[in-house]
Amino acid sequence: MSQKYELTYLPAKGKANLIRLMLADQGIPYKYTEYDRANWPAAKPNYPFKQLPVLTVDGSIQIAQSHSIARYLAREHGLMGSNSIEQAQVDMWLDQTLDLRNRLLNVVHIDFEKLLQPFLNSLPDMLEIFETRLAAQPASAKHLALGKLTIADYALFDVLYYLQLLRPESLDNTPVLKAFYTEFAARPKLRAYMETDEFKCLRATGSPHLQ
Amino acid sequence: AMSSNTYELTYFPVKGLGNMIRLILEDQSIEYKFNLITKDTWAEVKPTTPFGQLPVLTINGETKISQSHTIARYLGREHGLMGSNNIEQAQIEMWIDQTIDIRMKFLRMIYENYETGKQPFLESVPALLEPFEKQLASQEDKTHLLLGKITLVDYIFFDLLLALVALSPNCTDSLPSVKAFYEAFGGREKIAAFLNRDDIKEAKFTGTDHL
Repeated sequence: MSQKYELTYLPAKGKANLIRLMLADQGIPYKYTEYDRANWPAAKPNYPFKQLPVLTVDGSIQIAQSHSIARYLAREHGLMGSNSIEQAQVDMWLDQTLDLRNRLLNVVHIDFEKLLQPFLNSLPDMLEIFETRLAAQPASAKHLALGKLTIADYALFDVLYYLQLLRPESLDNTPVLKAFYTEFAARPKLRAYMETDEFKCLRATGSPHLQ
Repeated sequence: AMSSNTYELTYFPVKGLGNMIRLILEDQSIEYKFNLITKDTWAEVKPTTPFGQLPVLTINGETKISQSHTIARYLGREHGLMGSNNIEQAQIEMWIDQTIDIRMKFLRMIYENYETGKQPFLESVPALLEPFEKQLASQEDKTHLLLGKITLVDYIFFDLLLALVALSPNCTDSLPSVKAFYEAFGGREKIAAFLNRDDIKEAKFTGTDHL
């Protein structure tokens, strides 16, 4: 039986990680296909913007851009609010989180030596927004938006995962974020996925600065 | 579709990331109040914003949405600019995400590396715009990017082109379909009237002296 979803990427966690964590945690089946650096160039013209990740739906509809893939899947699976205003509220937290992730990936990919320290200097202010937000939520509902699980929470978990890979002490001054990360990581299906060889052996990025 | 919501858009006196939102509001004849923030008033307003950033859209005097593209996507959903189903929405969003990638490269160059980065950036523009050229060239109607009708990406892509053309007036010369789109969209009555307003003509594209 063919899968509704096929996710295609390169051999790294990179920008597909958020999507894969969410699919695993939600128990949504999908086919995963990977190009390596050798066979990707020839395959590029087959993809909308000659970039990956791409989600192929029902065998033929291609959705590119990791953020759009995440939002599409979130809407399909009840992780994006119930109306347009709620969707905007989730979306703005998703955008804010993805800003942080993109800044981190820029450091790693564009100019690590030059960009790392400015990034680390700006990190406390960037994390403060999330720390304050979660601190204001009730203990039983530590979620970024709508008081319940949304795609923004997966995006936050994803960026915190990368931050701690970059600097294990990243969350030492943000106890609420640290607790969020620990609790989220303990979600059964998520934990099971992160304990697979496939997840553990997949390097974080194609850069030597974040493996 | 007409909305019964009231909107207030808060932003600085630059085109920046607010202009595309205003193009949507103006062209779609959506009533809104524009709340102009200067360097003097910003200190007071900043703590009232979700992320200490502008633009912010305030809906019905109470709900504050941050992140310029989240605001744009919200208005797009409210006013029939996001397609008719989740897949069409995802396709519009992925093209928007592609414009964001280009805009971010543009902004990084302007803010961080203008002197040495301007020329290489301009040389990269044809390749960056190639997917858009290809998409428009494949259609007889070059006035819209997707679905044969106006969608949110038309506003955002046009707004990006405004900035690129301001940087280099002949940057679309090698891209005839993009150029045709730019001229057609810029000829829309309300778009032309808005861009011709004295305060809008005077508004710089960025917070730098370069543009």
